[in-house]
Amino acid sequence: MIKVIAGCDVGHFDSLFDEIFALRHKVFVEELGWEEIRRPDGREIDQFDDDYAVHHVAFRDGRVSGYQRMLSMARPNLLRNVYPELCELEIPSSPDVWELTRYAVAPEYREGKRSVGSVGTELIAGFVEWGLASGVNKVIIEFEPMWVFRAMGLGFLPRPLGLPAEVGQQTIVPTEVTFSERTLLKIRETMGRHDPVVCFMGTLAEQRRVRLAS
Amino acid sequence: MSAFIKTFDAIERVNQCDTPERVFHELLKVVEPYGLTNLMAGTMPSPHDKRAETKRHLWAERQPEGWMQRYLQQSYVFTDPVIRRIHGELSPFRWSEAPLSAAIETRQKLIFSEASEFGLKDGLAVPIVLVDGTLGSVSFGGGGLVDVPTHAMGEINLIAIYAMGRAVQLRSETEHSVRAKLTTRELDTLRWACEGLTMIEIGERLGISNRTVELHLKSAATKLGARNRAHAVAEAFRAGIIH
Repeated sequence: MIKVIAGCDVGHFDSLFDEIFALRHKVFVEELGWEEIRRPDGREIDQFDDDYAVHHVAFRDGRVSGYQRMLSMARPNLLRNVYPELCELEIPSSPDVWELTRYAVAPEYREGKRSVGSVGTELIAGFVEWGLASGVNKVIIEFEPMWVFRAMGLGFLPRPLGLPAEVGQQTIVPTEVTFSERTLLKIRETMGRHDPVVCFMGTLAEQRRVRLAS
Repeated sequence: MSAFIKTFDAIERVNQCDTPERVFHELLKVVEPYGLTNLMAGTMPSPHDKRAETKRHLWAERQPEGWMQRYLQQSYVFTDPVIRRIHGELSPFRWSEAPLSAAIETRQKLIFSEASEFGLKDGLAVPIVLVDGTLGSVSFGGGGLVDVPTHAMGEINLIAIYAMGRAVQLRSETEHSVRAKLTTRELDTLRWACEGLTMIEIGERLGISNRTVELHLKSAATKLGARNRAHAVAEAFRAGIIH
């Protein structure tokens, strides 16, 4: 299951977010070596973790097994505010395009060095489901070029926004991926399960109830 | 024209191709200015695979006459330093940068020298990773001066990845359309035939007469464009309908 939590509700899930910020620090600072976001308290929180961020949290056996954060392109985001030089096309800024950042699977839930694994695939199903339910059909991701190949295999339509570039120890390429109901079917086929994975929490659940009722 | 626009346009062209052959043709046009005139693309076979299965991992090849046959016949894929390096590498690299392994160095040098005799003197390999973690690559080679400037490595990498993605999409569409044409019974009989069962044995398993089994197999063979039962099994394998 993927819980979808709005940034404005983070205060209601204190202990959960203790676990999330620690996971982010472990994966991005300690494993990937992103020193500029290292924090002495081991909680990786940045300027984009505001009320408008949307957090996706995957669970296995009641524990956090994976995470990703969605940022609206109509608001400050990594590509526009941190890496604008990576982008050769105009940076999308409409509210129906979101940026996917901090995609992470907890080390104990990974399957092999290179496989996306069941948690990794569920996170992907999660953002597609969230997007289709929220009027979003494009996300921007700064990922390693090989992810383009995987994205195509899962039924996404990717489009490069720039050329691959070295950032720290990684090579990344900013890419816009478009998806539809068909993408979701393909991902579910790959996962071997067809039930919805996302569960909207707090404010987002309330907004959704209002929208569905009207 | 900027390097990005050139790359973007090449990716557009690749995405518009409607057969894997055209995809690889477009891809070769991208790398030819750097002296790369040949390619081989596919996933990594396991050393436990039978030779026929090894061939199934090969998605496309534009190699000098006779080289691919020699390569497959000698099972060079398991010793080839370029292929071995892909296991530890996710960025594109030059063939000359692929390290030799002490224990099999003589055989590895032989592969490079034979490749060179066939007209492949140097090349560039682009690794890919499938969703399930399976490794693959597209490896470009050339017989003359191979000159790939550093900036072009990233561009070739990106275009090659889009091309491989497109080729795989097109392959799976073909598989789907062939599979869709076969009935469940035809698929069942084919699967058992490929396990080496006789018509009578297949009939017993499925609770139908051996005459009906024969009809199903014949109809499957027609749909697959095969001439007989063995050919139908081979075609079904090739199309990825049975594994």
